[in-house]
Amino acid sequence: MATIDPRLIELVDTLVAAGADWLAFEIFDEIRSGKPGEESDNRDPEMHGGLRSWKDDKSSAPGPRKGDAVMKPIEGDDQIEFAASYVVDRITEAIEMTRMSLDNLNRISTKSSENSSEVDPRPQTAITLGLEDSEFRFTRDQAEQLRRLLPELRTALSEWSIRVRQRERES
Amino acid sequence: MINSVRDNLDAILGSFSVLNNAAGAGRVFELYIMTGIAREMQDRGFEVWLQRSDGTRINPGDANRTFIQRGGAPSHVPSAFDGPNNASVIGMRRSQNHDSWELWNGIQFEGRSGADHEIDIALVPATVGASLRATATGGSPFGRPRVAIECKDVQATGAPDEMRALVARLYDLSILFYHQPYLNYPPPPMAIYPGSPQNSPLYRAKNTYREENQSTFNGLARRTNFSGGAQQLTGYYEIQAHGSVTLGSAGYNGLIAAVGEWIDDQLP
Repeated sequence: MATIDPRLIELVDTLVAAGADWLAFEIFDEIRSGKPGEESDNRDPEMHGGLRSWKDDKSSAPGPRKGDAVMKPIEGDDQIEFAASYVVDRITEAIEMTRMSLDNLNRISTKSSENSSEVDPRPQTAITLGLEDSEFRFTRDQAEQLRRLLPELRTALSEWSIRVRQRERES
Repeated sequence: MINSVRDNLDAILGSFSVLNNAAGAGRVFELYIMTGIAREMQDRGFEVWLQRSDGTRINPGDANRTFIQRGGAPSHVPSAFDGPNNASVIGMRRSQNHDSWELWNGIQFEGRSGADHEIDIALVPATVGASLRATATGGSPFGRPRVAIECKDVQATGAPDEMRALVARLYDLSILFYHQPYLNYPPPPMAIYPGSPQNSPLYRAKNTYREENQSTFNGLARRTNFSGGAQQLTGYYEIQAHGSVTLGSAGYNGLIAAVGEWIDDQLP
């Protein structure tokens, strides 16, 4: 199991200050468990195939996977690079998933009407996403705006990563 | 350098505050799967609609077109008397001549033991939702949904205990034919209460756990993968393990297709 590199602390502090301590926990978990090695291909299609054939022919249950992933530790500079990429990749994915969800909701809503044979003449506004017991409201336009901020975050994290690693070599 | 990271994080998370708590990314993951299933059913020709917590539809020309996702802790189905601003659901039916269904997110179901179990994504007959909303306080359904998906937006590989927890949850939620003497409902025994329709074998209580497992879609969707030990449990208990469920991935598409196919094949 890898040891957490103390150079990550300032990034962790920053995540906590931004209200994203969960991201810091995920980075620690990932570093401690390591990255999948070469044997970690996704065997879900193989498993589902086994389950389907078992349902058709109840003679034998689907077998276990050939083996679990061999995890490789993440050490030293690799931890810094990994953490910088992880933060922006995770936030990017969350924004993209929300944007896709809003696309789905808008499409569902556009096609649905209590009387589908009638065309609703009223102007149609986009769906807003809300969170129960929260002031959070989010639209597809906001998702687009946030997407445009992501390259700057990626650049800032990349520059931080380079600087931190250089600082270690200079000292 | 770190100041630039901080400024950019503040700019993004300031307006995307859903990520400001540990459950935020998980809620994003659940919504992505829930809306993906709904859209898949619409593509398969089902009538699909968005529905407020008071049971009214969100129609195209409405002034209030906010879809509200369940927030913090899982809870019961709210009463319609509490108004439209609690968690929304997605309704669907094959056609106007077929039964309606509701796709729920993060609702507590009551098991035979009396314990509550959160099901991240559940499909239930719309009459069950309507029955609960018609009460003064709302409530939890008693029994098992026909589709139950546990969502795990976590980095760690899925361990056997995670699968055991889902198996145990579904076991406690299963109402079988021979449970009838212990139920507070008149016969015939149904798989879920209150308000279960009685017009199709799909809703009826089954004779064995295996039969009930085979009559439902039970899935565990993970952002990462499963250990071999977790996989061993899935086949026997008819749980579909879908790993690598990420944005637009083969894992995501496989999950959505599997759920869509099951609903299309099984729903009356």
